[in-house]
Amino acid sequence: MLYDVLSILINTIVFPGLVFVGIAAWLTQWFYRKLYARMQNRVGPRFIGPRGLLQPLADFLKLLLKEDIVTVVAREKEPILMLSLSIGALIALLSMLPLSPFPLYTENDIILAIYLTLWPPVALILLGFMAPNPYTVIGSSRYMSLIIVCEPIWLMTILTPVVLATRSGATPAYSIFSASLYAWKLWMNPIGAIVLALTLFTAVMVLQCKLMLKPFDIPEAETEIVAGLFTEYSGPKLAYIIMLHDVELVVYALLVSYLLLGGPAPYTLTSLPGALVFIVKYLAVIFLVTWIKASTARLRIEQALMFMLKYVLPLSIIAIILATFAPIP
Amino acid sequence: MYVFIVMLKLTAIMVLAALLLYTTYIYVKRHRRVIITEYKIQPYGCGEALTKEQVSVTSKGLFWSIVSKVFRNLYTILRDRIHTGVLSDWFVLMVLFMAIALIVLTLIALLFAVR
Repeated sequence: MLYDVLSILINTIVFPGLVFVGIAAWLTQWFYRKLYARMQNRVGPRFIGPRGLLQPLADFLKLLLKEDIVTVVAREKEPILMLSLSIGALIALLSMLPLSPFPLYTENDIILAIYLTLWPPVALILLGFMAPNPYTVIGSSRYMSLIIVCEPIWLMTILTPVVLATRSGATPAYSIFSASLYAWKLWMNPIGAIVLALTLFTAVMVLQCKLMLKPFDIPEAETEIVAGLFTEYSGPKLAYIIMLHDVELVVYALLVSYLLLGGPAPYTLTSLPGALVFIVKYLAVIFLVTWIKASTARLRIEQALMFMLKYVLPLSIIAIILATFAPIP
Repeated sequence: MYVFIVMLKLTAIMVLAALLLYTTYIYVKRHRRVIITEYKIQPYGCGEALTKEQVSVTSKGLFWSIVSKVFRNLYTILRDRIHTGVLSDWFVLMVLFMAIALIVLTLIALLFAVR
C-alpha cells in the first residue's frame, strides 16, 4: 500500500510528474523558440539568463502574476480546471511509458492512452466557449473541425506500432509500454520499417495539427481572428494555456520518440549512451516540427481538412492495415 | 482486476496533478497585488460594442458552416434529405446511420473474435 502511494506521488510530483514536465516544457520551449528564430534569421530569446535560457520561465511568471481579466460573459475558474486536468492527463500518460521509474501498464492499455490524449483537445475547444466572443467561437469551431479529422489519424498513428509490436510477440499485448520497448526491433524488419516510416510521417503531420502549428495554426490565426480561441485569455489563464501547449509538445514528442523511434534503444535509459540517444531522438522530433512550422504558410480551414483527409488519413489507414494483416517474418 | 487498479492509479495521478495546478492558481490569485481595470470586462470586439446575444454561439456558425464548405456535396444531400419537414425522412436517416454504426461495430467484434 505504502509502495503504491509513494509510486503515485513520485509519478505525479517528481518524475515524470510536474517537476520533470515543468523543466522539460521550459527547456523545450527555449530550444524551440531559439531554433525557430534561427530558421527565420532572428536571434530568439537572448537577454534573460545565459543565451536567454530563463526567458520562458520569466514569461510564465510574468503572466502568472498579472491581472486575471474575466469578461462579463466568461467563466472564471472552469478554464483553469480544464487546463489543469489536461496537464494532469498528460502526466498520467507519461507514467505509462518506460520513462517512469514506476511504469503503469497492463494489457490493452492503449485504450487508456488514447483516452488521456483526448483531454487537451476537449479542454481547448471548451476554452473558446467559456469566454464567448466572435473570435473565440470561430477559433473553437475551427479547432473542433480540425480535431474531428486529426483525432482518428492520431489514434491510428499510436495504434499502428502497438499492433505491430503485439503481433511480433511483445507482451503485455496492446500496451504502449511493451510497444515502446519493442519499437526498435520493428525497424529491423522490412515490413515493420515501411509501416513505421509511414506512421512517422503521419505522426509529424498530426502533431502540427494537434498543436496548432503552421500550416495548421488556423484556430488562432493572428492576422485574421485576433488570437482565435485564446482572444479573451490573459494573465494566469494564458500562462496555463502556454504551459499546456508546451507540455503537449513534450509529451507527444516523447511518445513519438518511444513508440516510433524506440526511445533510448539500443541502450537502456539509465546508461549515459542511452540517455544521449534518447535526447537526440527527442530533439530530432522537435526539430522536425519546428522546421515544418518555419517553412510553411497557413492553410485555409478547408485546405487543411482536405490535405489531412486526402493524404494523411489514407496513409495512416494503409499503415494500420499493413500492421494488422501483413506477414511478419 | 489489475486493469482496474492501473486505471485507478492513472486517475489518481491525473487528479492529483490537476489539483496541485489548480491550487497554485488559487493561491497566486489570492496573494498577488494587481491593479484591477474594470473597463476590460466587456467582450473584445475590435473596438465594436458587443451584446450578450452577439457573442453567443449558433449551431450554424459553430460547425456546420465549415462542414458545408468542405463537404459541400454531402452537406447538400443531407440538407435536402433531412430538412424535408417530414419526420419519417429524418427517422429513416437516423436508422440508417445506426445500422451502419452497428455493422462497423460487429465487424470489429468479429475481427477480435477471430483472433
